[in-house]
Amino acid sequence: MAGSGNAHLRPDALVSARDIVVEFPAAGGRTVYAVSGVSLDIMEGETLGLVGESGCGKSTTGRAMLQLPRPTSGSVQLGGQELTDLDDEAMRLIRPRLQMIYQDPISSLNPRRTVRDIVAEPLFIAWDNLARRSAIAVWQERVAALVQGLARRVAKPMRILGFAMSVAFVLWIASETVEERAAESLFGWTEVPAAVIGFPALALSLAVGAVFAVLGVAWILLMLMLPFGLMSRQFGAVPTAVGLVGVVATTTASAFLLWRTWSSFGGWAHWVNSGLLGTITVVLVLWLLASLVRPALAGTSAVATSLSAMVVLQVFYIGGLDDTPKLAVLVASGVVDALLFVWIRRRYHASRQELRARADPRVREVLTYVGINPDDALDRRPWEFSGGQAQRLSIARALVSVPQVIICDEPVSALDVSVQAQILNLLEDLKNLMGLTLVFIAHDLAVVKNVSDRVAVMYLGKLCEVSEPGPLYSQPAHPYTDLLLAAIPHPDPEAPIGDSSKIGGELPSPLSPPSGCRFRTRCPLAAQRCADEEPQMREIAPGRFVSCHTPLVGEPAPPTSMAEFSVGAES
Amino acid sequence: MGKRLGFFFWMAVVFLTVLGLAAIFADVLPLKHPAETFAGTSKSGPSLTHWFGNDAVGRDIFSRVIYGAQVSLVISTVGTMLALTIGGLLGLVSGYYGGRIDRWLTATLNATIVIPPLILFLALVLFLDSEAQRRVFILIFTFVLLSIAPIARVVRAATLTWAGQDFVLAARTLGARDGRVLFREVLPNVAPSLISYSLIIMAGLIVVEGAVAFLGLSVPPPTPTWGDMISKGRTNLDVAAHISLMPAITMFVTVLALNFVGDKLQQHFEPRESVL
Amino acid sequence: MKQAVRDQLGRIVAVALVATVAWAWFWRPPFSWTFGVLVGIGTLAAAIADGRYALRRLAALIPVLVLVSFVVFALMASLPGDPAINLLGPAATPDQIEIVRTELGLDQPFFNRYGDWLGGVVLGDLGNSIVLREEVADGISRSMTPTLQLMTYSVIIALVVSLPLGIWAGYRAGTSTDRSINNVMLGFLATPNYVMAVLLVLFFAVGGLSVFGNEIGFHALPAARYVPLGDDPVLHFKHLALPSASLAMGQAAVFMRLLRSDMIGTLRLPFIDLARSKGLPTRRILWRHALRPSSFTLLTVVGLTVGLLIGGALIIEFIFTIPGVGAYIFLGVTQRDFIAVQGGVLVISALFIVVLTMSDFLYLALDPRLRGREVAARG
Repeated sequence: MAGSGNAHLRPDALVSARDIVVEFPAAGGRTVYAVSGVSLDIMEGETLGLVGESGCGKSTTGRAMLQLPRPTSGSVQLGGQELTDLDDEAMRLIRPRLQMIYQDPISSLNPRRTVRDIVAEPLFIAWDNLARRSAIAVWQERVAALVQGLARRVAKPMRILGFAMSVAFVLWIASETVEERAAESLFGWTEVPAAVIGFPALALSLAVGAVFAVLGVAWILLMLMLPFGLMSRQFGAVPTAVGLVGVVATTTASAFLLWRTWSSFGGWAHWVNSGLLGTITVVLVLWLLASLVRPALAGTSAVATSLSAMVVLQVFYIGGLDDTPKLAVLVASGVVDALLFVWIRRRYHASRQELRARADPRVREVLTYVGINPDDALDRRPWEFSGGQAQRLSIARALVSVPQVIICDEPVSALDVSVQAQILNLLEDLKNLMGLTLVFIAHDLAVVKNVSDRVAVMYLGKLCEVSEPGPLYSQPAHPYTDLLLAAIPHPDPEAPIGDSSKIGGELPSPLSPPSGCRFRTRCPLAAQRCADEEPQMREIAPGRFVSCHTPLVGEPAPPTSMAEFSVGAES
Repeated sequence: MGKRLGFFFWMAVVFLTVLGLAAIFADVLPLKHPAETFAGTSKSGPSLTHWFGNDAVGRDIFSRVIYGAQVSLVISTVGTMLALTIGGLLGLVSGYYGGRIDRWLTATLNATIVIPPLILFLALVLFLDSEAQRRVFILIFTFVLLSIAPIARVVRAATLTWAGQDFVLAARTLGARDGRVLFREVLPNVAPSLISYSLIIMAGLIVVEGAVAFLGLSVPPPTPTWGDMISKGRTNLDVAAHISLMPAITMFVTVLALNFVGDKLQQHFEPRESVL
Repeated sequence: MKQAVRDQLGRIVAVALVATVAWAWFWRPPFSWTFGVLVGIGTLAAAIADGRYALRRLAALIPVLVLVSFVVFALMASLPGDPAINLLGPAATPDQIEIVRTELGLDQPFFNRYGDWLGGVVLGDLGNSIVLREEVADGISRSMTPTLQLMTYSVIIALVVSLPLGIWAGYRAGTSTDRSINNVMLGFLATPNYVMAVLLVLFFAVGGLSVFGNEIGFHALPAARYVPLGDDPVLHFKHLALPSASLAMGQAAVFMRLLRSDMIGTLRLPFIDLARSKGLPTRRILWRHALRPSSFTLLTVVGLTVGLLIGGALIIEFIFTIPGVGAYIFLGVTQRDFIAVQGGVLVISALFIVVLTMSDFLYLALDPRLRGREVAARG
């Protein structure tokens, strides 16, 4: 057992994982072999139970299906789409279809957020990712064709260079301006009374002004850089005329700002002629272009780029002024920027309130599904709920993005026995109601038996047996399954206490798993062959698969050729 | 949660607020000029006209204490805020990403702890610049340098605990970006202990600023500083102790209030520890 | 025999090297026997407990010390302004400046200078002080004695104050006794040591406040100056009483708070209940059974405090005119003697690191639970 092989896989599965291997680096340069070649598949609407002792890699397998972390090797397909090949960005778009419920209901809910936000968060994230996705897509169409080839090569070094230069530049400006001018004339420590009041006031307005100015101008630039069509497509409801006015207004405003910045330094000629400034301008412009053109970065980096570019420009602007109007201009430009910023954001972006309003009906509906009264719960925080209720919230969070598959990682093992049944029934109802496909991870065979359509038994990173629950429980084929079943305590006080020594010994270390069959060190039937040769998954009865040389049900495995043997030993 | 913060907590908050406001609006308030010498009042003790008494040259100690608060508070506030931002970010990144980033950051930060703060500062001040005007910046710079490491440590430790929680995994399962996870999920949980710790750091900075001023190396006269006032008053300790005592008491109460508020907030935000 | 020598050649060379360096540091300039004794005891304790771990930690010290030396040197070298001009003053002629630059080796490239300096440092030669015209190593080891004395006395006072209070507050946790001890200690914590020094001088040296003509205070102790222990032990302790006390009070608060919370944790453990059920007196339970397992964090912090004090006692040395290391560096700084300053900062930083490592070793020796296990996780 504890072997490999794909004999048990079926075509047309909704989720299909093949030969998943997950390895972690451990201290001292060693490797933890957490999962070593597990293959599983789940048909649509099916519940797969995944059982095994703690530490056998069942949770890791579940997480590998979610690509968190990505498996070291192997393939995971969802509805025919390969997930291991997707980059992070594309994977984010898949994630709403693939959800998870956790063992500890309390720690899986952020204690500082309200139920409303926790349950709506999947929607916010999905909308955000979708919006970015469409922005990237449109941008790709329009610009990428133009300069993509060249810019791809230039983008990264340019960004690094540009960033370094702008940082250096800001530092330079700061040291020159702030130290020499501000320290002496504005802070003027020499004359005490008038001086010191200036300092806190200036520090405050400097901070506020800088934040608003930077944000505002960055937004204006962003609006300029993104084609207008994109914005309206993204958020749908903006009338073209309003948008046009917005773009014209922001263009004018930022053009004015740029002009003031430049002219405060003596106009174009001076600007370009002064070597450093010229270089910086060229680098900034190139950098802006480069990060814009590189499609995958257009969504995030354009913001970062324009932000840091704007910091530099604003510092120029402020640095070029005389001392007296400096403060006034700073505050004024900050206020103007802030107003523009707010206006643009109102126009183009749904505010948090609007997002909440949009999500609210869905959140309420889902909370009602899981048996929580939304009116009571929405504004409370997770630690105000009992374990069972918190687990319901966790289920609601998983359901709100209408997933196809939910991976339940020991969803009831942290709960009281009386609550366990409620949660299990709830999951069963929801599954029927929403047509969910479930992966049910647990160490408790009794729990798995009732909910699963198919049960897979794992041991130390390998599969032992895959079967329907009925035959598996009545007539276990794998010695490990047999031992697990024997270890279940019977609720009959008259019954003799089971021989717990039957499943003796500890789980071997996943740092150095045994050769051949991984269960052989604890298996009562272990033979020499088990150490030499890794058993392969094979069908011993219709719908029953086992990886064991000498199963308790069906024929022993036929002898294998040497070639196969060496392959088996390797994996 | 839901515990009472208590009477002394609010007393401390009120004291800090009043001191801060007084320092900010010192020019507007009906205070005596801090550099003005009042004839015949040299070394005279507290009275109705001069609440904290007068110093060796007859200047009003009360007004000097208030103006001295400007220096202490501005330097420690700005220093703490900068250190909070930088150290907080470093700690978050270090704790959240772990691995090589974490190792390098931790090693670098540990290296900055080793160098004795006061001496580092002295070396910087005296070699870097004799020009007194720039000292505020050097002071702030050194203080930031010194307080980044402890803050980053605290944040890193807190981030490590919180980033291991399932709700962070849950957010990632939902497709949240690292930025969103860090700022929406981790930071709100780290923030309370961070803020209360920063108050304690701020108290520490006030003490160090006082020490520097005590050695006569902070903002130069005629701007009054607490440390300088305590130091100058030592020569007259036997005849007019209040010259040293008044600024010393003010500093003591300020530091005590900051420590107390920080302590209480920490207990308030962390119910598990407050069982003790 | 030959074969054995050849096999152990690496080790023999290493031991010889270490011996040379140790000799250079501890005997050539008399750096301080305290330093040597500290390293010796710590290493011995750790070697007894877990030799391999001790060796690993000691080996890990070397790159850290080299890094620190580089940082210190680079910091001093990167400061703007020419040390030669700083020394000679603005009126110096170019020729004079040139001579001083050559004398100080400032015309060499940066890494050459660092290499030369580091080469000397390894053998205990920190260079010659520009102003004092003596070896920096001599100056520092001379001023190390008062600093170490001050440090030792203050830690002893702090422990004497904090141990009983911490134990009692931990035992009586939550009661009004606990709260009042805690509040008083919070007060000490908020008193900067220089303020404490001023207060102590006020009340114990110059006679204190006079209230309605009555003096509250004493003229019992001297307010300044340092007397070596060898000259007059009584005067020595009299002179160091106030500075030690002013350093000790803040530490006592820190120690007490730590001990209290660890004590509370220990007193909850079952073996305390067992001791109680055996009928042992409370005092015995607290001092014999609960103190040791509660004192490990305290120990680390004591180590940390000692390390910090070596450089941090500067202001106390300044107030009480004690010729310690802090005062030595302060003098160097005010006289722009960068060689003295970089030597002093290096020695203090190195001492800090060594003291920390040694307190970790001590921790290891005292806490049997850590022995042979993955101690590296903590360091």
